[in-house]
Amino acid sequence: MKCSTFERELLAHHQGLDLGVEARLHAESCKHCRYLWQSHLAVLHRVGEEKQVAVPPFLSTRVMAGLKEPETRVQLLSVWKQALQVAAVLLALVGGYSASVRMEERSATEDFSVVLSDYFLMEPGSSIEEGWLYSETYEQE
Amino acid sequence: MKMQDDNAIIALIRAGDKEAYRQLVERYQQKVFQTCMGFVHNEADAADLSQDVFIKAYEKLHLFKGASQFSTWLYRMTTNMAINYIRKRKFRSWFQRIDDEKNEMDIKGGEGADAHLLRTEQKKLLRRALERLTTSQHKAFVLSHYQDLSNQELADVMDLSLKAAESLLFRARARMQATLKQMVKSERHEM
Ligand SMILES: [Zn+2]
Repeated sequence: MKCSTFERELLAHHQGLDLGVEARLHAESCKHCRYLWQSHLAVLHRVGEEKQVAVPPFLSTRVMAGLKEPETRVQLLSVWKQALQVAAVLLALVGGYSASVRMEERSATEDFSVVLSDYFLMEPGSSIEEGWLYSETYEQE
Repeated sequence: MKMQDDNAIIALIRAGDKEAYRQLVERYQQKVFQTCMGFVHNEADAADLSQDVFIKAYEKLHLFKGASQFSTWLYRMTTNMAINYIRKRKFRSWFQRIDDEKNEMDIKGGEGADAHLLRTEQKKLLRRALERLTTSQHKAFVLSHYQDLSNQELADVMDLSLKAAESLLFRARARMQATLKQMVKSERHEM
């Protein structure tokens, strides 16, 4: 058997345990393939050990303690909205802007609030699920 | 049956029963944790990451449309967050890396030197083999080998056709084998 044939057989039997007689005989006589087979088994052994590790106790308690109420985000949002409105008014007063400029700023503030509201209060069925789960950030290679 | 159960729990949560979420966490925590282990390879980080996954899943639950099973949605989120987590970890200073290795030595101090060496070698082999995989290949390998998902389940989580998922998994295994082959070759030259 050639080394390349052994490698193909090892790839086909990815658990590494059910290699044919010929492949086993080749590994006995070929150091390179024997080491390759051993390292393959070592990797799978390590995977087996890692996946047997039990989840730490109290994970669910930690999760439940870490959950935020959606209402909290809404409250935060309204605080932000108020803060932005106050900032806009202060900016207008200090800068001595004209009434028309103030109006523009107010509508800009409201636009920003609308964007925030749309983001946080989006209805189920919107496309954010796909945007978040399949975004380039997550999938780039 | 299971899908109905999950959806019933989700309906309770949506109706304001936050505590019902604990059932989903307890149902899937081992699988999520196992998946995280396949990316981070240590228990503390896997636990932290699992916690983040469940919290994020709760926050995004209103975006779960029920088109797939909840578990499929959750596992997809887990692999995406795990990939982001290890990318961020790569930016950590190498001092931290050395600390991790030292802590590991201390933790495993009770076992024999030979057993520890073997474990360390196995871990090194696995890490290097996984590092060379593309993101998709890494996900496919972990979902198949750490979570024991069937190829169809793998396809669902990765949003691929069955054939594409099988092909991806094959390429992951082939690339791992190529890496191992390279490592075996270079180790033999060193000897
Ligand atoms: Zn050979």
